[in-house]
Amino acid sequence: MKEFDLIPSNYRTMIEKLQMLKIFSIGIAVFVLMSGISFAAIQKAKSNASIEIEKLTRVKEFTSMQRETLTLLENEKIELDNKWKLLKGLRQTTAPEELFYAIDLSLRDLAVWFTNLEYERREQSSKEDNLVETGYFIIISPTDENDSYVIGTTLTVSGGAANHSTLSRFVKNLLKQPSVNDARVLETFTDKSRKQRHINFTLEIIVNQDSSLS
Amino acid sequence: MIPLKKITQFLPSNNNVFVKEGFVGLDFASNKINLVQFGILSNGAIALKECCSIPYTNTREELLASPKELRVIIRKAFNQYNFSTKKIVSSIPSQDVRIISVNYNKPKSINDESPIVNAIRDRIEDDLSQYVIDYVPIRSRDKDSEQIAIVALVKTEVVLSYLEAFRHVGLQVEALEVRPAAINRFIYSCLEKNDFNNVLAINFGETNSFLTITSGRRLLFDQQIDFGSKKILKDIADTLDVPIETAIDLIEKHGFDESNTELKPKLVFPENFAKTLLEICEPRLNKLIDEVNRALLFSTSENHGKSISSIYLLGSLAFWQGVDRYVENRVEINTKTIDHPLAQFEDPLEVVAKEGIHSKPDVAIAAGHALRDLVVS
Repeated sequence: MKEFDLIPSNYRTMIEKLQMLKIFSIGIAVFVLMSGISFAAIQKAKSNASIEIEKLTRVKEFTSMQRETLTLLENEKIELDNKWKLLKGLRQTTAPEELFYAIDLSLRDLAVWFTNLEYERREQSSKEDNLVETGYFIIISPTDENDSYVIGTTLTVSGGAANHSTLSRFVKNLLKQPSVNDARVLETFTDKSRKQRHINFTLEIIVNQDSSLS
Repeated sequence: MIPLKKITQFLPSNNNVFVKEGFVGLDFASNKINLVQFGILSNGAIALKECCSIPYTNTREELLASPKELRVIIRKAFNQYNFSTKKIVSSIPSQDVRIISVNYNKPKSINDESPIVNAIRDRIEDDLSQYVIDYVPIRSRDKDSEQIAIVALVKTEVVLSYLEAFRHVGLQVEALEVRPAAINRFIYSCLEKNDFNNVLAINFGETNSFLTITSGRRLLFDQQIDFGSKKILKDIADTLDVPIETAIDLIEKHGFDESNTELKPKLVFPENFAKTLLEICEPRLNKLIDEVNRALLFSTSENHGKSISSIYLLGSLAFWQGVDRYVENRVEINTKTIDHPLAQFEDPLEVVAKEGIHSKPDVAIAAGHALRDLVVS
């Protein structure tokens, strides 16, 4: 049944439009508000991230510094270790009495005599010697490859021997001694102008070759 | 700061006994604003949800002209009372509305609007484009083409100012009615629902009164008459040479009921002073009775001899004792004052007991507005 209503239809339409506009405005306002909040949140997050990045950069810088310091310290340690090994090597040499005792044992009943002795402690290349077989003797041919150095006690002996066979027995006897690591005949010769019948030699006796400086 | 009431209204409430809640009926009575809201219970009965009456600090016209004052009183009503919506149904004050019965002819193939506008153009001198016009068809006088409608006309500027005043105070007007429509709906829904007798409602105002004839759900007739409480009070004040306030006091204490002698032992005036007051007012009351008789005659002629079965009294004079008995004696039709309008409805929340406004007959109009969309014809 029809009932009275004195609200003009155009007014009702206007109110509906105003309500839609109000809803739209509220929507826009909410959108702007949300955008503002989102922007602020992003800015805040960005700021936090920047702070975090800055912190991490500082930590990284600190870590790099530490790493550099650590490397330096490690290098220093290696250097100190080497020095320590060198010092240890220098200190852990065979006693000269023991060495001379070994030589004396090797000389027994052999016509070998010494004209000069040089005792030396020094770094030595520990490379594998390029050995050349020459019959009686092994001649050392020096090379440049795989150099490493050891602390060695070297006794360089110059002298004479009745013949090469006697010198050879003397060298073999030396090599049998536990305190002698190596014995190298550096040269042998005969002074024919003097009509000598014996030979002259230069021999290097190496002991204590365990302190390598790698 | 958000009022606690606004928060709690979103919470589940034990008061939520209604399966549907209606709009708030709002009526600007002569000296106070009345608001009523009904709801429908699960058993289908209409029950009172909330009501209030708030007196104006100034006159109604000043209130409606002042958005600030209107905002204060509306806020007071909606903040202090438990209305669940700001959607209202209201009416334009009667002095701004012209309601006329219009006879018009129309072929069945066209709608009523053009013939009604043509019919009222002959009766209204003003430019009709300045008016908001609405109508309610009543019935066909015969089976051919003659129709009757009740037409309400209000100046567009008045309607818009009224609507804007509501809009500015945050109310959403669902419908803007006329008071007779509210009276009709109220009488139909609570007093005469079970029979479709013709009923005359007399709504007394301060300067004018309104005679409304209804038949069931239909509004048949509404007429403004030159009769109001102000003129009666002036008659009493002039005759007794007392101020208007004394006249009001006298009429409220004695009324026109000569049989009422239980009152006021300390009165300056004698206890049978009601008879004196009635004698003073009788010439003017006779005019009322003449108008009522004219309305009764019109109703009888329009309803094929079917007469008015009851008369209901509303408004300012309805407060006065003995008016109903006087009218009943004069027109010999059962006459009742609707002195407990809201008592006709169920009140599960005991709102009436809380507010104590049930004894104010003018609440009936706000109640009639509030019943829109709840009353099924």
